[in-house]
Amino acid sequence: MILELKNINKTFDQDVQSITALDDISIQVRRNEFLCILGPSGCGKSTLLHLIAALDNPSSGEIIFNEHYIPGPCACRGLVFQEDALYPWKTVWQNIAFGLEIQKIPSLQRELIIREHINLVGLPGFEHFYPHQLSGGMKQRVQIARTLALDPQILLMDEPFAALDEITRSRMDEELLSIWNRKKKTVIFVTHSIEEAVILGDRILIMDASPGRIIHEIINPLQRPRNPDDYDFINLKREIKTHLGVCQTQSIEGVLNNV
Amino acid sequence: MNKHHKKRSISDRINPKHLSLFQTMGTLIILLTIWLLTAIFVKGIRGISFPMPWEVAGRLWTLIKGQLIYNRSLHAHLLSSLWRWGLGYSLAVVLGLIAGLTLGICHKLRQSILPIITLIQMIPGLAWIPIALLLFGIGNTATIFMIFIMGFAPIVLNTAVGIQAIPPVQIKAAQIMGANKRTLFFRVLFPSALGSILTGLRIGMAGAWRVLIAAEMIVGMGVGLGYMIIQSRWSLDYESAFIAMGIILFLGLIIEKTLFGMLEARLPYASHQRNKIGVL
Ligand SMILES: Nc1ncnc2c1ncn2[C@@H]1O[C@H](COP(=O)(O)OP(=O)(O)OP(=O)(O)O)[C@@H](O)[C@H]1O
Ligand SMILES: [Mg+2]
Repeated sequence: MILELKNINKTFDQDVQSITALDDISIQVRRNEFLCILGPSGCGKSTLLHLIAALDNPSSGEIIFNEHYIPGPCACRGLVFQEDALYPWKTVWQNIAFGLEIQKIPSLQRELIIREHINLVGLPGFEHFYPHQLSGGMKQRVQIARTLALDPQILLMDEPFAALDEITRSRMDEELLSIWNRKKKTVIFVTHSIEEAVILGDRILIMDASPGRIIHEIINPLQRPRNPDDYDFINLKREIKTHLGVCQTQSIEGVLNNV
Repeated sequence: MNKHHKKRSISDRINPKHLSLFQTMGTLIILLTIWLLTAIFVKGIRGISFPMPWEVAGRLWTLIKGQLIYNRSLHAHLLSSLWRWGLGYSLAVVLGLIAGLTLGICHKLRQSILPIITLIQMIPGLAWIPIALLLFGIGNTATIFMIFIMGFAPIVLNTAVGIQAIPPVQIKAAQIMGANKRTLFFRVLFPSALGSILTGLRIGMAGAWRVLIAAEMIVGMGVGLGYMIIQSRWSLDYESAFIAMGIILFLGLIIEKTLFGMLEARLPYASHQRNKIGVL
């Protein structure tokens, strides 16, 4: 077990009322697991990732990482933010270099790592561009490169591909899976896309809002590589939709049985 | 005819180097026209002779050749103004940056001190004269104090606000990458505030320059461009007043273009903020 969340609550105290962003969340994440979190807007997905990254403290509950309480933020728990988190005064290259410099990686090695990760996210040729010269999706890819370059044990991703077109997105999904396979990482991946969750996740947690809580857990039975056109794939999507309350219709089997 | 042929605007068809030359010339021509029209207008309506550009140019020539004005040469007036401004403004920059950065990172201090700085900034330059005189008596120190205070307030404000304005996610990202407080300050907070700091330095520069002239008019020491203006008003030597004003404008322009132009060139990422929107 690389990560354990025990009865996490998080409330934000506002002037007028207090918001329960997370209500009694307990999650156990195995080493090398690919965990997807699906849920409507405002159900506390970002809040959850920020707590795991130790950018904020839970109101109550415990977070245990590698058998230890977490003292504070750490490059070993890398977070790809939902919003643009690049430094506008740094080029693509400098943005990726920053974390490596902080970690005191020697410059030769640093250069290799940066080059490798720029290639990985498909941005060679853009090394000396500033963020304002990049598209939204390109910025997000730089952020991913910057996080991966620090070789975190656990990778927290907050809707990283939401700004990408479908083609780039499925390419990035594949890239991510191959990194995950190669480097044996643990990934917690927040997404709005049911299809993406089914393609990527070993396990899918479904959350709901007010208060933010986990309403269902699905162990993904599909073999990798997964094909979105498969019968089982479509069925699983349908099941998830039902849990999310998007689609109340019967499963495909039900439809077929009725014919 | 190609339907998709896009009509290029006039300004697109000109080589950018030539364009900036044209723009400068345009500015000069507009200024001269306004000057001439004003002169004609004043003469026609009020019957008073208004210094013409060529008269001012002639007077400038005699002064450059070394003729004294109010017991000093033109360049003595000029140097004395520059020296006062340089001293007062340097003090404002150093202390203003220190104060602004401190207020920027210290929330508690900021809440109690920033309102005071805002108040100071609202006081018009000339209103400082009685305070300056009470504090330092007539003399250079009073003038330099006024220059300092006019430069100081905007530098502090813009620096502190610039540091506050950083999106929290940029701090969080640095924390995850392992940044300690020092790294956070020097490599994240400070660079993110640079644009705003530059604005503060600019506003401070202009304020200091304006109050310099005013201070020299009143608490002057018998030398300086401001002194030159106020004296020429008494002796009806309006050409000299125009020359002093011209020099003031010219110097301000040079400082703005060289000093701040250089600083800005080092912030290429901020260049996209420069507005190039226009119809023609
Ligand atoms: N700093 C904060 N102060 C007060 N309330 C907050 C804060 N951060 C989040 N919240 C509240 O917590 C709840 C969950 O927010 P969160 O950003 O985690 O949602 P989310 O699931 O990530 O949504 P989305 O899918 O739109 O990104 C929201 O109701 C939000 O208003
Ligand atoms: Mg979110």
